[in-house]
Amino acid sequence: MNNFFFRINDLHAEVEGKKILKGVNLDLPKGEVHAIMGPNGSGKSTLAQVIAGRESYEVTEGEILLEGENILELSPEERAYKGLFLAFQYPVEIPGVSTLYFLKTALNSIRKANGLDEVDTYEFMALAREKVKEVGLDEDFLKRPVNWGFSGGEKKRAEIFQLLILQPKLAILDETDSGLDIDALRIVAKAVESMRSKERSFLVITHYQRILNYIKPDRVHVMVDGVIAKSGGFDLALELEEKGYGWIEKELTFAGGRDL
Amino acid sequence: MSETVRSVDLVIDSYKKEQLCAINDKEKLLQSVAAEKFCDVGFPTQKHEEWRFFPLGEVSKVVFKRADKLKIDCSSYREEKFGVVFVNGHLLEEAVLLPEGVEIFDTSNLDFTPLIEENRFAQNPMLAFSYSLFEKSYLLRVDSKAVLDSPIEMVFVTHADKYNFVVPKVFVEVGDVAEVTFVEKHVGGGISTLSLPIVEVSVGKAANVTYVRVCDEERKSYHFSYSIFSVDRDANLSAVSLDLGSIKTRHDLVVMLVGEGASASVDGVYLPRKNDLVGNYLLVEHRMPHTTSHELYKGVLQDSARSVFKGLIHVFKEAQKTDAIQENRNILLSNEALAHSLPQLLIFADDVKCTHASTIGRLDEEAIFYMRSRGVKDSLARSLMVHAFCLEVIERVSNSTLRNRLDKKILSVIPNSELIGNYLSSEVDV
Repeated sequence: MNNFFFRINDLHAEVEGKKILKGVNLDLPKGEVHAIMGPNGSGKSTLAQVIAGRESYEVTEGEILLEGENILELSPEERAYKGLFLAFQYPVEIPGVSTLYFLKTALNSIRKANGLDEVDTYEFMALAREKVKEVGLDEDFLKRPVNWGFSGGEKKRAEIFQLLILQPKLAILDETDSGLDIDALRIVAKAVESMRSKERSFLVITHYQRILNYIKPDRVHVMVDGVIAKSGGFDLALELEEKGYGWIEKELTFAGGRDL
Repeated sequence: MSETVRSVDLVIDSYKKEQLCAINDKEKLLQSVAAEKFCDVGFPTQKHEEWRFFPLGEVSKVVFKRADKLKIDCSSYREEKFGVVFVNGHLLEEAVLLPEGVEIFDTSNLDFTPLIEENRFAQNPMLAFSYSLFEKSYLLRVDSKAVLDSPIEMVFVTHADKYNFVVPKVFVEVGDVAEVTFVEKHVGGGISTLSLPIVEVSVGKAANVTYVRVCDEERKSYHFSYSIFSVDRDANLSAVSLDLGSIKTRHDLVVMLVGEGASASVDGVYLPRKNDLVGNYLLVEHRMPHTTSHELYKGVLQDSARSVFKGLIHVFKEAQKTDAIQENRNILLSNEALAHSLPQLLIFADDVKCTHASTIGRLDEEAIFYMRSRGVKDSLARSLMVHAFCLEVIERVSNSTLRNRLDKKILSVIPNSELIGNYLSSEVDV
C-alpha cells in the first residue's frame, strides 16, 4: 500500500527511561475515522502527545508518516502546518493570552506556512462568531484568556471550537468525551460529524464506547500495554463495553494489531 | 571602611558648609538627624537584613561628587502634555507646564509636614545618606476637588559624569477628593552615575490617585529610589511601578494607610537582564481600621539578572478589619538568573485578613507545547506568555494612552517581542 495517508510504524517511546510505547503500528487512511480504546495507562495519551511532537517523550524507534513524510523530525508547530491537530485531554490554561489573539495567530501561522493569505481581524471575527455558536459557547469567551477559568466542559468545547477554526487534515481527539455530560457530548459529536469529509481523518482516543455512538468509527483499535493489541470494526467497541479490557490483555499474543 | 569614612566626611562637609540653605526648616532639621545617623552607621552592609541580597559594591567604596546644576534640552523625555522636569535635582523652570489646580513650589518658605520621620533613617541607612545630601526640595500641589483627565508627568533626568550623584526631592500633595494620575519617570544617567531620588506623596481624604513610576535609566547607572505615600480616609491609591533594569536599581517603597477606609493597590513589574540587579523593598503600614492593600509584583529575569522582592505588611494594633494581599511572581528565563522573594507579615490586630503568595518558576512548558501544537512558533509562544504575565500588572492603569506606553516599554525588553505585533490593537470588540 503506497498511497496511505497516516501510518505509524513500530513506534517505541519512553519518558525518563520508562518505556511506554512498545511498538505501535497503525494505518489511518484519508477520510476515515478510527478509534483507539484501551485501559488507563495503556499509552493512548502518550501516543497522542508523541504524534503532536511533545519533546518530553523520547522516541527510541519507529516512524510516524503523514502523507509519506516522517513527522518525527518536525517541530510541533511544523506538524500543525502539515495539518495535524491534537485536542488535548487536559487543555492548558494560558493566563493573559486572549483566545481571539491566540487562535487568530495560530490560524494565520498555518495559512502563511501553506502559502495562503492571512485573514484580518474582521474576517477572523466573522468566522469565529459562526463557529463559536456551533459548540454552544458564548461569544464573550473569545475575549477571555485561553481556557482560563473555564469549566471542564467548556474547555473541551473550546478545543472543538479551535478544531472547527483550524480545519486540520488529521485531528486527534484525546479523551475529548471524558467529563462531558450527554448534551455537551452531543454538541461535540455533531461538530466533529460536520467536519467529516473525504479529505479529513480523525483519530478518536477514548476510554468509553459512549462517544462512538455519535461519532461512528470506521475502525476500532485497542491499545494495551503500549501496543495495538487488537483491531476491528465498530462491533469491537460494543464488545469492549460489555466485556471490559481484561480479555484482550490475556489475548496479547497478537503481532502488532494491524490486519494481516 | 575608609571609604565610608570619606563619604561620611562628604555628608558632614556638605552639612556644615550650609550649602543646603534652599530648603524648608523642618526638612533642614531632619537633614541634620539624617546626617548624624549616617555618620553613626555608615553604608548598609550585607549583614543588614534589608541589604542581605543587595550588595552596594562600588556605591559604598567610591566617594561620589555632586552633579552640577545644568540647563539642558529635555523635550525628548517628555511624553505627557502636562508635567515638570528635574535635571540633577533642579527644577527646569522653563519646562514647567501644569494645568489649572496644580502648582509647584520650592519648599524653602513653605510650612508643611514631611512624611519622612526620623525613625525612617534608622530603618534605612541609605535613606539617611540620600536625605543628608539633597540641596533642593519641591512641593507639587494638586488642589482639593481637582479632577484632572491628563496625567501629570514628573521627569527626573540624571545628566552627569561617572561617579556623580544626584538627589532630587519632591513632595506631592494631593488635596481631598481630587482625582489625578502621575507619571514619575527616571531617565538619563550613565556609567556609574548615582541617582538618589526621594519622593513623598500625601493623598488627601477621598482622593483618587494613580501613580505610575517608570525607571528607565541608562543600563550602567546606579539608582536608589525612596518613595513614601500616605493615604488618608476613604482615599484610593493605585501605584504601578515599572523597572526596566540597570546594574543596580533599588526602590524602597513605604505606603502608610492612615485613614479609615483607605485603600491602596501597589503593583510592579521588573524586567532585569544581563548583569542587572533590581530590588523592590515594600513596606505597607495599615495604621487604621478598615484599610485595604493589594500588592502584586511580577518579575521576568533574563541572562544572569538577579532580583530581590521583599514585602512587609505591617498591621498596627488599631487596624482591625484590615484586608491585605501580597503576591510576588517571578519567571526565570535563563539558568543563570536568580530571584529572591521574601514576603513578611507583622500583625498586631486580631481581626484581619492577610495573605501572601510567592512563586519563582519557569515558563509553563505544557502551555508552550499547547500553543506550538496549534501552529504558534516556539519563540512567539514564549514571548506571548511573558508579555501576558506582565500585562496583568499594567492593565491596572486605566488611562489607555499611558497603558500602551508602558506596554511598549515592556515589549522593548522582552525577547522576540517583535513577533507579537500590535497585541492591544488586535483586541476588537466582539
